[in-house]
Amino acid sequence: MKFCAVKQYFDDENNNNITSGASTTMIPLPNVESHPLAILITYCKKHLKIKANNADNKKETEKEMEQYEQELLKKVMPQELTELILAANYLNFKEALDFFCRAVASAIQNKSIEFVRKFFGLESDFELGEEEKLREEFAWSFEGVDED
Amino acid sequence: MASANLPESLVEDILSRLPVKSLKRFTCVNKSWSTLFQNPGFIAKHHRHFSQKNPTLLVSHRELITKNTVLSSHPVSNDNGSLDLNLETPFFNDDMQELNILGACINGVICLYDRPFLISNQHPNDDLYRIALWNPAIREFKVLPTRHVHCPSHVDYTYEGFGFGYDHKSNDFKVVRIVSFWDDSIVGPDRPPLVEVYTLSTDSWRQIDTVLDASILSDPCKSEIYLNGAYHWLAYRSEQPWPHGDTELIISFDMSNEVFQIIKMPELEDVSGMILKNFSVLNDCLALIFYSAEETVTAKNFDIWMMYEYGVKESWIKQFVVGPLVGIERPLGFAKNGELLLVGNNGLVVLYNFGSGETKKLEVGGLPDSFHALQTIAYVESLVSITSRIVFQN
Repeated sequence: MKFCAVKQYFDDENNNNITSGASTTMIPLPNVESHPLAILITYCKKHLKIKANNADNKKETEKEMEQYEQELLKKVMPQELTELILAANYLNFKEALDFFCRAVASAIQNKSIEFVRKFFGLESDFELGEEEKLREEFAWSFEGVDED
Repeated sequence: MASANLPESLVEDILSRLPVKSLKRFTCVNKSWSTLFQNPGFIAKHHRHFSQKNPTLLVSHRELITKNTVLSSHPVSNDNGSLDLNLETPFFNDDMQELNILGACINGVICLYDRPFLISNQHPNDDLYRIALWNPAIREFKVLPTRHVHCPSHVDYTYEGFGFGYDHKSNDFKVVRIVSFWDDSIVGPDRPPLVEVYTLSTDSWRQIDTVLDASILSDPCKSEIYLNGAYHWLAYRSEQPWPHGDTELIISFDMSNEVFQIIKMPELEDVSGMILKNFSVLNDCLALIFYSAEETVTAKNFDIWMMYEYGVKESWIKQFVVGPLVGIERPLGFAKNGELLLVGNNGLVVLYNFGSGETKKLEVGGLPDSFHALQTIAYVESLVSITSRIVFQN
């Protein structure tokens, strides 16, 4: 089961010997919004399906997953990526977490400092002149940066 | 564009996937990010991420007349490389000086060895033999202090060889230097070779007492490699007494133990004609590429031997025979993905794929024809700082 947090819930239930109709068990996930959860479920199902279709061919699986991931990214807004990461992290869904972290890295790779501060909700805490000094020292790293 | 704040560990995970250029820029975001990028644990995690991908291929090219050297970089995704101006070595590159790469790129650091093209038979000019450690990704370099050789004027000496490596026990970069002497006036045993080691943490050279009873065929371009924490050179030993010929062998210098060891060469079956060889690494094994030196040969065949069990002579196996290939001058070694790299007669790098048997030329945009490919190394970038001597944490 990919959603390790959910699996944990089931394991705990079995340990407590609670009998229940599995299909109607309600699992509380207070930290996950429904929208990112829906995307994660779709991602998970797709991943399992591609894996099953390509049985032993790992390369094919990787290729198809990559294509699916590219398509998925087109539909997801950058702001949503943070929610997806938090959801995947809470659910302990490693593959999705890895993918969305990669996606964020890719999205911010060529961005300006101001963009990145906004994205992560950060502020500069440098002393007066410190930041200018750093910018000058690493001026070469500012070449070719995307416009905000 | 405010978004829910991510916990530190996840932010770190994302940051460890960014290329060095982005991280250097993001040093200006805030203090904690600036500190993070100097943290040895983060630097190691970041390097590990990039080590898992296919490395970029760096190729050095030498101009035939002036001996100037330039580097081109070839990311895996591109068939065509570019003369990456960012790789312009920010130091050395005088005319009639040859710039070579020693061994391999280790933790994102490259060691460059600059030596005069015209080698004097008497006392060399020590200042013309220079070594530098370089991290191209963060544009940092350090020229090693010159270590003069002191010996009486009637004794001649030569720089027999250099090696670059990493001592994983002390987390330190090291450079080893071997100087050999000869004195025509003396009858009897020669002065033993002088072996000295430079360590980055002390920024100094020291002599070490160790036995080296073989002569190194020093040529960073074809007969030296770095593997298993040791630098290896092709070498030979004169068997006494005359007329026994020289025995060829491999000498290794372990960077942690600082001792030399001998590794035996494979026994070749057919030794007719002059055989040339190239020393390389394939699938983490020592590899030797043998080929004929006959000038009339227009199509060449290459015998590839691999040492499956490190140090065990019997484990040498002739694994592949490649060819005949036309238009090839000599082999360069293996890329990380197992492709065989060669230099064509026109000086361009040729890639040979074992699976398909196909060859592919590596073009370099903007490179004049008078430059010929000389060496290739696999390069993975890192944040390791040489000047602040930030120790890499394994």
